[in-house]
This record gives sequence, structure tokens and C-alpha cells, in this order.
Amino acid sequence: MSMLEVSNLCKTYPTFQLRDVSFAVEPGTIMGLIGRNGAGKSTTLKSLLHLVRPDGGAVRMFGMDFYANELQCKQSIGVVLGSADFYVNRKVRAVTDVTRRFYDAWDEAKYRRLLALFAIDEEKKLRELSEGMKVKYMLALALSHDARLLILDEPTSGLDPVSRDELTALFRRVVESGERSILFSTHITSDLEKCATHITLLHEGAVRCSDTRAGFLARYRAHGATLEDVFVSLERRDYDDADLL
Amino acid sequence: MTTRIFYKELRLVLHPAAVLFTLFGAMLLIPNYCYYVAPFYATLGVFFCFMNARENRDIWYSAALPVSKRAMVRGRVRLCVALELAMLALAAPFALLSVRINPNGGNVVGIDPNTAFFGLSLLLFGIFNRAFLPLFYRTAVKVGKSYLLSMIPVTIFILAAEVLVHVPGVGPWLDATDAPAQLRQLPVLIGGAALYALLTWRAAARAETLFEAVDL
Repeated sequence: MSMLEVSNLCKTYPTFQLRDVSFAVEPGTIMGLIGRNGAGKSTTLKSLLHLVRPDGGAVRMFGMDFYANELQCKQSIGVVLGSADFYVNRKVRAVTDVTRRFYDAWDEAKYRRLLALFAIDEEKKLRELSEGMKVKYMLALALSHDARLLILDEPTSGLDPVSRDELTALFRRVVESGERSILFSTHITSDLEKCATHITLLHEGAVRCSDTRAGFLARYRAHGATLEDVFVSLERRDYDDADLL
Repeated sequence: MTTRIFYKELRLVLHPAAVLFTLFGAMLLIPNYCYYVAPFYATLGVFFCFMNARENRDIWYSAALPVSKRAMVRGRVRLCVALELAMLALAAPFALLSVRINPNGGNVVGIDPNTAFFGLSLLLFGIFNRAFLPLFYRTAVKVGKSYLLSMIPVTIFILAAEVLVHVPGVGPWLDATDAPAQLRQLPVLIGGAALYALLTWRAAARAETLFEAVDL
């Protein structure tokens, strides 16, 4: 059973269209959703979470129709849209105290262990946490309610290389047991090289390719090229110099 | 689930200024004053909470939680109701003190802080909720514009209510502060409460429908 099955998701905006987006995330895998800025990554994540009302398509999560079982499904997912840039003037303790009440499976002991592991000081305000720390805090919240699917929108953007490396290692560790999966959008392809098992490439609102990382590379890359080389070669647009002058 | 969201509203969304404004019932002690300024401040407290939520990106925090968009609205409406009713409840002792300090009909500006005043204040809150909540949840972003627009019917209501106490016949009846008059004004309080409940309920239902359709 797939953790997540997105089928023919459509959404039309005045200047942008999401067209028949379909992909699946299997247990124990990390799916990287890549695409240029404006390719539809965030819209896809928002649509599949019902934050945006899709015009068509279906989302199945843990074998259930997500839209019909939204609250039940949300008990088992961890969502990070951007970094934890909400309630930045509130202490970690205050935000956790509110958050934990929403989850039936909240494990306080596990949360304490994760805070210690990530060296997060509960007395700090969220704005006092570094960007990397904020993502780790969000991960701690998600893992403490035993989220089986983590949906992360550009979690590594704006992080230094060391923090990104730490996080990608963490992601690998999170799915290791085969019971959890991660879907994360990014345009930092080097992070995907390190941890993604699967890749879905979005291009102008449509899925250009959704495959295993090896399959994706085999399909597109010239010998020895990196994922970034492939991404750039597929997406790069040349401009007519004359128009710029 | 609404209880959990209400707890979130109290812990994270409630702005300190809104708490302060619930104490503005003390303004009922001011001689010769438009006492509707006190409930007006309570609406300003609601505005502060909505601003606080927006500036702290509450929608993105709440969207990640296992709650529906409709429940998000219900939690916020509950916060509004709590602030409005708290303001009136805390104003009651000041009203009792005020009518003892100022003799019957002492307020030459407008209504005295009597039973009718509380009923009409409830109606004021109902009008505010009915206007503000659907206006805001149409976009879930435009707090200032929604608040300013909602002030139009509220201001008209306040002007009309204050003019009414100067109208011969109904004016003295509405403005009286003696004990028998309070009993006679009871229907105004009950009617105000009923209209408040009805308008707020309609506002919440409309706001839920509108927010459901908003693409975040």
C-alpha cells in the first residue's frame, strides 16, 4: 500500500495551471519533488493537503481517500511548509504545549529525547533558533506524534551546507525502518543526490517524469552527469541577447 | 476538536491588548460619555487578535494541524465571542457603580449604563461579527480593510442608538436607571442577546463557507 497516491491533480489559476499531476510515495522512500521556481511544487503540496481546493484529481493517503478522511490522515502526517516561521516571538515550549494537544498519538518521552538529540532549548523563542534548528524542531514535532508521512516544502532552502547535510542524513535515518516516508519539494538537487530514492520532476505545472532516482538519471543523463546537470539541461531557457540590449 | 483550537487561540492568537480592552468597561464611570466606546474597544481587541494571527502566520501553523478549515474558523469565532462577552461581564460592576455615582439620567451625551445598554451592546457585537467575520474570511488576509468596512454599520448603529435616547417617549424609557425601569428594559437585553446569537451564528456559518473556498 502506498503512503501517498496522487492522481490527476488539477488546479487552474488565472496565470498558472497544475495539469494532471500524478505520483506515488511508497513506504520507506524519500520522494524529491523538483522543478524550477513556479513549476507548481508548492501548489501541488498545498492541493494534496487541501489548503488549495483542486479542480480535479484524487489523493489517497495510507489507503484512504484524503479529502474524505482529512483529519484522520492528518493525525499521521507531519507538514512543514517553509521553515517554522510562525509565532516566532513565542517560546518553543509554548508552541509545543499547544501542538501536542492536537495529536492522539503524542509521545512526550520521545519528544524530550528528540529535543535533547537536536539540542533544542525549549526556553528559546522560535526566532532565536537557526533555520536548521527550526526544521529540526518541526521534525521533532512530527516524529513525536508518530507521523508516518512527512510532507516538507523546501525544508533545506536557506540552510548552510553543513545543516543541509545533517538534515539529509536525518531524512535517510527517518525512513530507514521502512515504516515512514518523506515527500519534499526542493530546487537544491545536491540534497536529492544525498537522500532521495525517488524523483518527480514538475515542469510548468505538469509531471515531466516520476521515477526512482536511478531510473530518472538513466533516462536523462549523459554519462557522468549529476542530477543538477540533468535538471539544468532539461529546464534551462536561453534568452535572445538582442532583446536584452 | 474546537476546544483544542480554542486553547490554541487563547495561548497563541489572543493579543495582550485585547485582554486589556475587556477591562474598558471601566469607561462606564466617565460622566457624560458615549458608553458604546467601551464595546467598540472590544471590537478593536478582536481586530488586534486577527492581526496577531496573520502576522504570526497562524494559518500555516494551523494548516499543518489535524483540523479542518471550518474548525479553524469556529475556534476564532469562539475567541471573538469570549472577548465580547468578557468585556460586557466585566463592565457590569462598573455600570452598577456608575448609576450610583451619577444620578438618574445623568449622562447628557447618550444612554446611561443600564440594562438596555447591555442589550444594545450585544446587538452592536452581533452587527460587528456579522459584518467583520465574512469580510475577513473572504480572503483570510485583509484584516484592516475588513475591520474598517465593518465599522460602517457599527458606527451607524451607535449613532442611531445614541439619538434614540434623545427621542421623546422612547428616550426616557430607554435611558432610565431606576430599579423598576431595569425590569422594563429586560426585553431589550433578551432581544439583544437573541440577535447577537443569531447574527454571530450566521456570521460564523458564512465565514466557514467562504474560508473553505479560499486557496491558501
